Order: sequence, then structure tokens, then C-alpha cells
Amino acid sequence: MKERSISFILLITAFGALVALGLITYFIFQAGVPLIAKVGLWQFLAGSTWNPTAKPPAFGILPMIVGSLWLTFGSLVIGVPLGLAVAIFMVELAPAWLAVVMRPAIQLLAGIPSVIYGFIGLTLLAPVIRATLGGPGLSVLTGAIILGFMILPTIIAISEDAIRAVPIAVREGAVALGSSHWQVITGVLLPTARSGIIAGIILGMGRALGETMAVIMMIGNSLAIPVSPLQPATTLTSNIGLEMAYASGQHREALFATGVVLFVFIMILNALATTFVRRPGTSRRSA
Amino acid sequence: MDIKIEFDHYTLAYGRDVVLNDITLPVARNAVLAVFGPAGSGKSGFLRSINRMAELESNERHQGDIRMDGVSIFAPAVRLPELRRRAAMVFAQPVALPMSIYDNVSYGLRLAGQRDRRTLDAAVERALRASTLWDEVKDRLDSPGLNLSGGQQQRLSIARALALEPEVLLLDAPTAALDPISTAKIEDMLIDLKANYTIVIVPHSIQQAARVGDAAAFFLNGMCVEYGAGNQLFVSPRDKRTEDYVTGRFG
Amino acid sequence: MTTARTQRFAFGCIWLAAVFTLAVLALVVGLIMVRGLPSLSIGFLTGTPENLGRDGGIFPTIVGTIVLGLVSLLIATPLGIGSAIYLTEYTHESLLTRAIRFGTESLAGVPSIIFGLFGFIFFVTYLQMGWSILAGGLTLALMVLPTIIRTTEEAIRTVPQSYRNVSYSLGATRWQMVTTAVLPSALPGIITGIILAFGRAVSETAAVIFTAGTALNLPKSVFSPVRTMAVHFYILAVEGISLEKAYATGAVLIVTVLIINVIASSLITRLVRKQVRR
Ligand SMILES: Nc1ncnc2c1ncn2[C@@H]1O[C@H](COP(=O)(O)OP(=O)(O)O)[C@@H](O)[C@H]1O
Ligand SMILES: [Mg+2]
Repeated sequence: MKERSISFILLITAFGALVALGLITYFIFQAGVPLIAKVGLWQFLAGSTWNPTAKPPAFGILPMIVGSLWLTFGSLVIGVPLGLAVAIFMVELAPAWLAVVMRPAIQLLAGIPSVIYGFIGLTLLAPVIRATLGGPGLSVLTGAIILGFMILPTIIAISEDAIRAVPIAVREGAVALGSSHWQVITGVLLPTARSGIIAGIILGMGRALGETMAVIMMIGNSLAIPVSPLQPATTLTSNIGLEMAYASGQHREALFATGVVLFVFIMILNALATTFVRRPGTSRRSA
Repeated sequence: MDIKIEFDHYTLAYGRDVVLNDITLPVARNAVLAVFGPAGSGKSGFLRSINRMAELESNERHQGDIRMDGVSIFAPAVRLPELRRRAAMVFAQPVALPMSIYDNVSYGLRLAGQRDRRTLDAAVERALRASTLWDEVKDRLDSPGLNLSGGQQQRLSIARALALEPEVLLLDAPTAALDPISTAKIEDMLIDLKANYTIVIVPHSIQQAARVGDAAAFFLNGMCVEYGAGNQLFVSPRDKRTEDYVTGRFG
Repeated sequence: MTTARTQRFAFGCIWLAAVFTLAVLALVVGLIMVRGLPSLSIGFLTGTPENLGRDGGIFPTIVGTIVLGLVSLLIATPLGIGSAIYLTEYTHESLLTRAIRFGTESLAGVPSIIFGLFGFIFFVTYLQMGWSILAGGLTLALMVLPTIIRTTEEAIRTVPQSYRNVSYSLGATRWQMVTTAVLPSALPGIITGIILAFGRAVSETAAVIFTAGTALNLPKSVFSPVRTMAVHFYILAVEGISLEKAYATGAVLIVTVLIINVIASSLITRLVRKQVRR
């Protein structure tokens, strides 16, 4: 009898995450969808004017979508090559002592609060960009560079796992054929680990897309659609983060509606990532 | 023959794999039954059926019956923990749980709810003496079991089973991972133990089967090819397959 | 010998990338520490903020951070460990476990601003908790739940199968097997997961600011609003209140995160040794 109740209690706890996900989905949609319905999905997504307090108000989130896309892809340009290189380094090249140092260092990189990164972008990188490349400094470029580093741990951890998971036999087969180390890496390891690496990149993308406070600090928060990386912009997340502090009524609903759009994007990315990871739920390190 | 355990047309399968096929076999009380045969012939399945460990596989199915003291072990009234305390098992790989020697030996009793320190003390000493480990560890019962050598860990595993005062000892190749000296110690111990226990052992060699067995059963492909008392299977096997196997012509 | 040349060039680039990454990490940590440490003092850690934080210390935000982190762990730890035990020891892979895993994976990918929005509309507004430790702690708990589930699952999976067999063979019920053979061995990994979860709670801003509020007072109960260090740091920096205090707060944050990381990575070895000694 005791065993039965324990098993039942454990079953209940096991549903915790699923219930949480359900509640989040329900309440975000419930708060945001009515406004999308009223404005019209297309007007909401493709409208280029966001003026929620004007009369009549305008609820177009195209500037934020464009800003999010700029920033996300910009951060991938920095984060993917660097992250892949570091992952290869840790598995293939690093001397033992350095590998021992790298692991906690990467973990620390993941552990540093995002507001600290935002602060570095704001006080250190933005002035440098302004002085060397022009523009206001607080810009897509500044945000993308810092975000690139913020998503590094995700990309490194998952790519590293994927590269390590390549069977020794596969590697030795290539070595036996006389391939150089670099040829083994590019010809055998990376292709074999490809799906894992792609999953890592997609999850990194999700992190970049979802980051909020650091982005607010770095990106200049301009509602104009950016045409150059040196211009300021706003994103889906930064706009929510900034305006939630004072929004009310329809304005607040519009922010939840923005959240709905963000949530859908993220869910699509998550689903993509899971299809690329062959064994979901196993051995993926939490970043 | 005084029968302790009785297999009665017992068949065991994991999913589509038939592990034991229609086994009918007696296990005599206070004697050693040696169950031998090539790898994959179902010896472990046989042992794990007696304490119903086989049921831990999600796709386990069985037919027929196994009786202990005349009562089916599959009867609804049988409690699994109690059955497993009556028929305690030792595995091929020595396993010291990550706790002290004392806690290892008293582990089963504590699972059964025994909290009285004096009872536990007495049981630990008795079990360690019976498994011939007492003199080697009596001064360091609080040190981790993992610090013992492989042979000592296996005798610790046996002591852990003996502490329960089981009726049956199920030994699945208990000396397979050990050196000859540790093996000899354990074989000697078995001779002493059978006065009080019914022992089913999977020996790690035919020689060991002949040395320790009061009876022997030869398994092949999940079937009991031949069963015989004493050294009959090794001296005058009736089945050609048994003869081939014990003379090393098996292939 | 072009393959050799290519290889040398490629490996050079890879080394450069690794060194560069470490250098950036050192720069971030170093800069905050160098600029923040001079204005750090006992008074700063134990004092109350004045003029919105322009003067005084950060004591209430330290309390807020710790309390919020603890409340979230108090909720997430039993849920997460229970969930991991169920998935690893009480069930076989099935549609149900796949659904549960999908929930965990998806929850792990949900951005913190969404948690913030949800916590605001559900805990703060719908359940009328207001901006409070409770609302913030619950929100954070959901956020760190996947971390605890995953690390616990991984820790449990490293426990040798033989421990389970021994335990069962000596008459353990499933729950006895879990508590006496599995959990003690998995403990270092589980604790590491809990500490990492605490680290996430400490670092979080977006999910906290809309659920726990930004109040600078010491909390009186779980229904009081609090401001965490990370939120305080953000407000100091973004509203241009005081760069000096921002650096000092940042330094405390970094030191906290450093300590958490050091404990997390050293704990495993320490606990393993202790376990052997017992
Ligand atoms: N968990 C399992 N699932 C499916 N088949 C199994 C499992 N364990 C053992 N078997 C199969 O059962 C047969 C007998 O196994 P076992 O009893 O372990 O043999 P032995 O101990 O004689 O080597 C083998 O063919 C083996 O492949
Ligand atoms: Mg076997």
C-alpha cells in the first residue's frame, strides 16, 4: 500500500514539467491571442508601426521581428564558428591540463548573469563600436557580438557531446586510411556529429532569440526597422521587457501577443532541435 | 529425496527469447545443485526464476510452476521481498555497496526493518564468520566495503546474503571473477554451508561443478538436457550432448 | 605538402579561437572585478541602499536573492527529483515518458521573459499573489525544474545496475531500492544540479523583475516583494543611477556565481570520497 502511494506521488511529480508547460501556453495565449484576433494576424506581424498608446493605437511588430532576426543571425555568425572551434579544440587538440581548465571555464561562461554581459556591451563594446565604425554604438552589431558569446556555452556543450559520441571505430577507420588529423576532423568527425551540432546551433539560436535584459541594455531600443548592423533596433523580447514595466490595458495585451509570437518561434526551434538530436533526453548537458 | 524446490514444466521468456523451456527439476534440501552449460543456456534465468528476479525484466513471461516447500512461489499470498529473503542471491561480479562493511552485511536485515543494534551486531558477526571473512575485517567493520579486494568483496556479498538466514542460496558464478585462492576459500565455505542451506550454484567450470555439486543439471538452449545425482553427469553421462560438453568436445 | 599546411593553418585558427574565448571570459570577469572591488566593503554588503541605490549598500538585495533562490529550490527540488526517479526507476519508455520528456525539454527552452510574462499573469495577477517572493519563487521554480530533472536523471543513470540487483535480491521493495541503493550514489550529481539551479536563479532578471518586483525594502514574509542583486544591477546600469555601485554590485554577483561554480565542480569529488569513507 505504501509502495503504491509512493509510486502515485512520483507519477504526479513527473507531470510537473508538462503541467507547467501547459499552464504557460494557456495563460500566455489567453492573454495575447484576443488582441491578435482583433488587430488581425497579418496586420500584427507585418505592420511596421508600433504605437500602442496613440489614438488610434498601432500594433505592428515587424520592427521587432526584423530586429530579432538580425540579432539572432548576427549572434550565430559569431557564436557558431567560435563555438565549433572550441568544441573541436576541447575534444581533439587541447592538452589534458588545458581541457581540465576549459570545462569549468565554459561552465562559468554559461553561469555569468546575462545582465553582466549586457553591461559589458553597454559600457565597453558600444563605445568602441561608436568610435571605430560609427553609428550610435548601441546597435545590432554590439548586441550580436555579445550575444554570440552568450550562446557559446550552449553550442560548445552540445557539439562537444556530439563529437565525443562518434564511435572510435569510425575514427580509426579514417586514420587507417592515412588521413591527416584535420582530414579526420572535417571528413569524419564533423559529418558524423552533424545532427548533434545542428541541434546545438538551433538551441543556441533559441537562446539568442529569447534573451531579453542584455539585449535591452545593448541594442538602443529604436522602433525604426534597422537597415544596417550599426543602427539601433528593438526585438520581440526587449520590447516586452521594456514596456511591461508600465503597460496597461490593450498595450499590455499587445505585449502578451508579442510573447505569443516569440513563444511560437521558440517552440518551432525546440521541435527542430529535438528532431536533430537522435536520443532526446539523454546525455544532453544542461547549459 | 527431500525436495526443497521443485520446477514443474516451467517456461520463461523475455519477449520473444525463450530462456527456459519446459523445465521439470527437483532441488534437494541441504544439498548443492550445480547448474552448468554453455553461455546463454539459461542458467542465470533458472536462478533468477527461483527468487523471481526475472520479473524485473519488463517483457518477462512465464508458464508452469515453481514450488518451494510445496507452495507455489507465484501464489498471490507470496510477498516478493520475503521470497527474496528466503532465497538470497549472489552475483558473478562482487558488489560492495558504497557503505561500510557493517552496513553492507546488515543491509538486508535493515531492509526487512530490523533496527535492534544487538541483533544486527550478532547477525553481522555470524554471517562474516560463516563466509570466512570475520578474521580479516573484524577490526575495521566501519571502513568502506569498496576498499576490500575482489575475493573479499565476494565473500562480503555472500555474508550479506547469509545475514538474512535464508533457506536457499542462489550463487550465479560466484567465483567467475576471482583468483584461485579466493575460489578455493569459497568452495570450502560451500561445503560447510550446505548443512544448513539449500544451495543452487552456477559453477564457473565443469571441474567446479564436479567438486561442489551433490547433484548436477546440464542446460543447453534453455532446456535441461540431463539431471543426475552425485558425479553421475561427469562420470557416466547418459546424453550424448552432456558427454560432449563435459569431455570438452562441445562445439 | 598542402595537407600539412592546411592542417597547420586550421589548428592555428582553432587554438586562437580557444584562447580568444578564454580571454573574453577573463576580460568580462576581470573588468567587473577590477572596477567593482575598490568600492566593495563590509558596509556595502550589510548596508541599506539610499537614494535608489546611488548611496548605501545592497543588503536587502542579497537577502532577496538568497530567499528567492531558496524558495524556488524548495519547490523545484522535490518535484524535479521525484520526476527523475519516476522516469528512471518506475517506468519503461512509453508514450507517457515521451510526453513527459517533451515537456521537460520544451520547458528548458522557454525563454525567461516568457516565464516572466507567465508568472506575472498567473501568480501575480490571477492567483493574486502580487509582486512577491512567493510569485517570484514559483516562477523561478518552474524555470529551473528542467535543470534539476535532467541532472538528477543523469546522476541516477550512472548508478551501477548491480547495486539495484543486489538491493532487490536481498528483499528491497522498489522504494527501498531507490532510497538505499540509488539515491546515495546519485547524491553528488543531484546536489550539483541543485546548486546549478540556484546559480540560474541568482543570475535571472527577466523572470524575476515582473514577478518578485523591485522593492528595495527587506522582505517581511513570502508575500513581500523583493529586489534581487541581478535586478538591482540592471536597474542601476540601465537607469544610469550609479555606475560605481553597478560595478560593485556586479562584482558581488560575479563572486557569487564563481563560488557557486567552484562548489558545483568540486562537490562531486568531495562527496564521492565522503561516501566511500562512510
Ligand atoms: N534481459 C534479457 N532480455 C532478452 N533476452 C535475455 C535477457 N537476458 C538474457 N537473455 C537471453 O536469455 C538467454 C539465457 O540467458 P542466461 O540465463 O543469462 O544464460 P546463462 O546464464 O546460461 O549464460 C540468452 O539467450 C540471453 O540472450
Ligand atoms: Mg549467466
